[in-house]
Amino acid sequence: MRLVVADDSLLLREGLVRLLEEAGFEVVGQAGDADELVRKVSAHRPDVAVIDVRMPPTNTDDGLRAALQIRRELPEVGVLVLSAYVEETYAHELLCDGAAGVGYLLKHRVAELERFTQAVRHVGQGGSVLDPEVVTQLLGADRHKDRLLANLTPRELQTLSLMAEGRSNLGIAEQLVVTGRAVEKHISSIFTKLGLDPVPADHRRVLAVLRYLSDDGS
Amino acid sequence: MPEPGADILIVAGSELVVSTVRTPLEDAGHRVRAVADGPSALTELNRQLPDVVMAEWDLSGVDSLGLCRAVRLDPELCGTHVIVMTSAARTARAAEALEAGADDYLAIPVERSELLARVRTGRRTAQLRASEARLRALMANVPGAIYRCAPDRDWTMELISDEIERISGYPSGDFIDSEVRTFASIIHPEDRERVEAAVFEACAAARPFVLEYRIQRADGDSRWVLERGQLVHGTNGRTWLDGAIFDISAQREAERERRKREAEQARVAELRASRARIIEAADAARRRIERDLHDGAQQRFTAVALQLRLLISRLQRSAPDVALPVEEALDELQRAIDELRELARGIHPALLSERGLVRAVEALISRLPMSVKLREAPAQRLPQAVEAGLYYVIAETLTNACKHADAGAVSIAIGRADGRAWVEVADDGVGGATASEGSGLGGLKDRVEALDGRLTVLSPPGGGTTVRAEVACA
Repeated sequence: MRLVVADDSLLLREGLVRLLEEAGFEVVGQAGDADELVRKVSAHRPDVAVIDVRMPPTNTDDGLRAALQIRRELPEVGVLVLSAYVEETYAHELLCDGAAGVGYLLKHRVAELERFTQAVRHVGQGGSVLDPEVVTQLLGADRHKDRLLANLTPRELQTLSLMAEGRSNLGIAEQLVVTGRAVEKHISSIFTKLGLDPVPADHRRVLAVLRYLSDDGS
Repeated sequence: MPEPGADILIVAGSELVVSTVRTPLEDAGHRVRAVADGPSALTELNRQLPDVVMAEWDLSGVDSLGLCRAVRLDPELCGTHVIVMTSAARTARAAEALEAGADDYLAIPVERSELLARVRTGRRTAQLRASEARLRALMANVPGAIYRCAPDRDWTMELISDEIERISGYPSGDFIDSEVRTFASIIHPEDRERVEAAVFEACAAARPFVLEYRIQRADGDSRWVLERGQLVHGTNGRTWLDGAIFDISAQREAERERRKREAEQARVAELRASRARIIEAADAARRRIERDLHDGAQQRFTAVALQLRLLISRLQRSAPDVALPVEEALDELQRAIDELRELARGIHPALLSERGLVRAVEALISRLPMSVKLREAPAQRLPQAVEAGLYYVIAETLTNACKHADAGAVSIAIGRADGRAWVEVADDGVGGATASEGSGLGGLKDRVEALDGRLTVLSPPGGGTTVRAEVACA
C-alpha cells in the first residue's frame, strides 16, 4: 500500500515513516506543509495520505483543509487525519460527504502500533476509522440520556461505539470476544431500537450512526 | 461726482412759497413732496422720512413751532433736517424757530444757489445724525462695552457704553475722563502688565489687538473679559483707542468644564483600553503557550513514543523480557501526553481560534460529565476578543456549576443584537454564588468589563445560578 505522510515536525515524520515502512507500507512522498502535501498527493496518487491537522502555512487547521481538498478532488485517495485533539466538528467536516476512505485519529495513537497500522490499512481499503474519543464525546455527553440510547444494553452500547469507530463485524467480534453471529444480532437490535435503516457496508454504517448521534435530539 | 437727489418735504400754506422753492429743487434733481399744513406734514413724515423738511413759519394752517417740537421729540423722526422758511422781513423770528428745534432757517425769497447749498448741507447733517443714531443703537445693543479712550496707561475713557456696568459693577460715568477711577485700575494686577505691553505693542505696529484678561469687579469677583481694539486717528491730530470689551467668564467656565470632562473621558477610555490590551495580551500568550506545547513538547513526546514503539517491536523479537518494562514506560509516556494535551486545551482551545465560539463551546460541553444544552447560538462568528471573552465566561461558569453548584442541568444561550453580544449560562443547582473579588467569577467580571461589558450573577440560595455577560460587539 502506497502512502504520502505529511507532518511539519521532521522528528515525528521520520518516526512515522520508519514505523510505517517497518509495518510493510511503501511511503512514496513526505510533506512538511499543506501545499506540499496537495502537490505530492496529486503527483503520487497514493492509497492513503496520513495528515497532521496543524501545519504551515498558518499552523492552524491547514492539514484538515488540505484533507478536505483531497477528498473533493481525488476521492480515490484515502485520508487519515491525525490531531493532537479530536473534535466532533472536524469529524463532521471530514465525513459530511461520505465516510469511505476517511480516518480521524488522535495523534498519539500512532504509538499504538497495531491499531494505527490497521487504521491506515482500513482507510486504504475504503473503510472509515474514527477515534474512540470522538465516539466517546458523541455517546458520553449527557444530552442523549433522555433518548433511545437508554434502551440499549451495555453490550449493545459497546457495539455501537465500535461501529462508530469504523470497526468491521469481525473487528467488533474480536474486540468483544464474541462470535460474528452475536455481533450481527447486537447490530440488528441496535438499528431496530434506534429506528435506523439497516446498512450493510461498514463505512455507511459509521455515517448512519454518526448522524444519529450528532442529531441534537430535536 | 454729483450727489444723488435728496428727499424733501415742503410744508407751506402759500402756493407762492411752494413754487419758489419747489421748481429750483426739482430742477436740481431732488425729489420733492409738498403738503399744506402741520397734521399732513406729520402723516407724510411718518409715511416716509425725508432727508430735509422745509417748513413755512406761521403762515395759515402751519404750526411750524409745533412741528419742530414734534420732530425733535420723536426718535423715529429726529434724523431729519428741519429748515424753517421766513419772509425776509421777519428774519428776527429765526432765533425763535431755532430755539424750538429747527436746524436752520431760510429767508424767502432766496437765491437759487443758496437754496441748493442749504439743502445739501441739511442733508449731510441728516445723514450724520442718522449714522450717529445707528452707532448709539449699536452701542446700546452689543453685548459688550464699546469704548473710545486715550492711548495712555490709564485707559482714560472718552466714552464707554453702559454695558461696562454689567461687566464690572461700576457705572460707565466713573471711567469717563477717569473721573472716579481709571479703567486700568480694574484690570487684575496679575494681568495688568501683560495687557499694557500687548496694547502698546499693537498700537506701535498699528495692528488691531485681541486680548483675554481678568478684571476685578466692584463686588470683588474676578471676571474674564475679551477685548478687541485698535488705534484710530481722530480730528485735530488726536489718536484714540477704539474697541469693545466682552464678558467671557461663562464661556471660559464652560470651556474649562468641557476640557475637564474630555480629560476625564480620555482617562476612562485609556483605562478601559489598557485593560482590554492586558487581557488581549494574556489571550495571545495563552494561544502562544498552547501552540508552543503543541508544536514542541507534544510533538517530541509523540516522536519519542513512536521510537519506543519501534524499539519494543524489535525487543519483542530479540529480548522479550526487556520489552515489557519499555512497554510500561511507553504507557506512562502516553498518559503524560494525555495530561499535557488536556492542559494545553485548558489554556487555549485551538478550536476556538479555528472554528469559533459555538464549536468550541459544543466541544467543551461534550467533554463534561453533566447535561448541558446549548439552546441558542449566533450563526456568524464574533470578533476574536469577544469570542475569547465569552468562551472563558462559559468555561469558568460551567466549571463552577460542575464543582460547586451540584447542578442537574445547565443551559447556555449565546446571542448578538444591536451592537452587543451576550451569553447566559443557567443551572438548577444550589445557588449562592457571588462575583466577589478573587473568586473565579470576579476574574470574569474584569474580563467582561474590559470588553465594555457587564457581568451579572443571579444566584439566590437554593434557586440555581444564572450568569449573564453582555459585551460590546461592533
